[in-house]
Amino acid sequence: MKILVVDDSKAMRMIVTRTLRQAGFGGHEIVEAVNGAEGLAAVSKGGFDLVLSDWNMPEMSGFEFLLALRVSGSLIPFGFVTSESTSAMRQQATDGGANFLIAKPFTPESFAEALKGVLAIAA
Amino acid sequence: MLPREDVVSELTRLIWSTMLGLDAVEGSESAEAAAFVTSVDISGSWEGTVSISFTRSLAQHVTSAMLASEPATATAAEENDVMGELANMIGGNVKGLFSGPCQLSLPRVEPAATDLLRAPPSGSRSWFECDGQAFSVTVSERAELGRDR
Repeated sequence: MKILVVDDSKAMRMIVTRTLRQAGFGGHEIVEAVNGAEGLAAVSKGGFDLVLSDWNMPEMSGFEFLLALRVSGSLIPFGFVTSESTSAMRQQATDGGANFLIAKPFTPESFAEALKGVLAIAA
Repeated sequence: MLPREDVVSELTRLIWSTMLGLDAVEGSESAEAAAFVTSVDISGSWEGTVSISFTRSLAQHVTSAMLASEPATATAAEENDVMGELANMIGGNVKGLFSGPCQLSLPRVEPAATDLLRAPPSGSRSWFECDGQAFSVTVSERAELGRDR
């Protein structure tokens, strides 16, 4: 599977990738983007199975990215990884078409729970 | 109204342990010069700023912890990225303590000028120690703006 990790923080992209591996989702191809606009361009080329995106980013936010994907007709599974996780934002994410929201700080267990059913656990 | 200090302290300890694998224990005010202050602004139903002070060696320490890299090998850009992300996580969780709609700014990292470290006129500062390095987390309220809403 091919996973797009979108975050303006290089450190956070690295930690998300590491946590995916710790959660048992190693072995997937990871591609990185630094904001929603770059993420949208990457997804438009096709081939991705999942998007994990920060919410608060310059240029294009994660929520704007999600809406642009859904408006374009893309149904790719989409999850937020964000420090902002109020019930209002979770509802906004769901209404926008997100599949899940992982709150920072996170653990491998929170990744495993959120991704259950979205990705097959790598052998 | 400011968030409770004990709640902010607990958030800080949780973020340090979960994302860095480090302990942040209660500390006392330190005379050691901070080198950086990283901040995020919250605006909306509550108006204020959450900031963290770092000594130069603590900046290196948290960066190597988050990136799982050798100590003191990180670039300045990597240190700024990690310090900013820590402020973003504390700020994002503090934002979640308020019931009304709020926006969170992108984090910024600045040299620790005196005016950034002065006790805020309306705010709280908590001191911690991480592997012998002191740091503080400050939550300050922009009261005048908040009252206008």
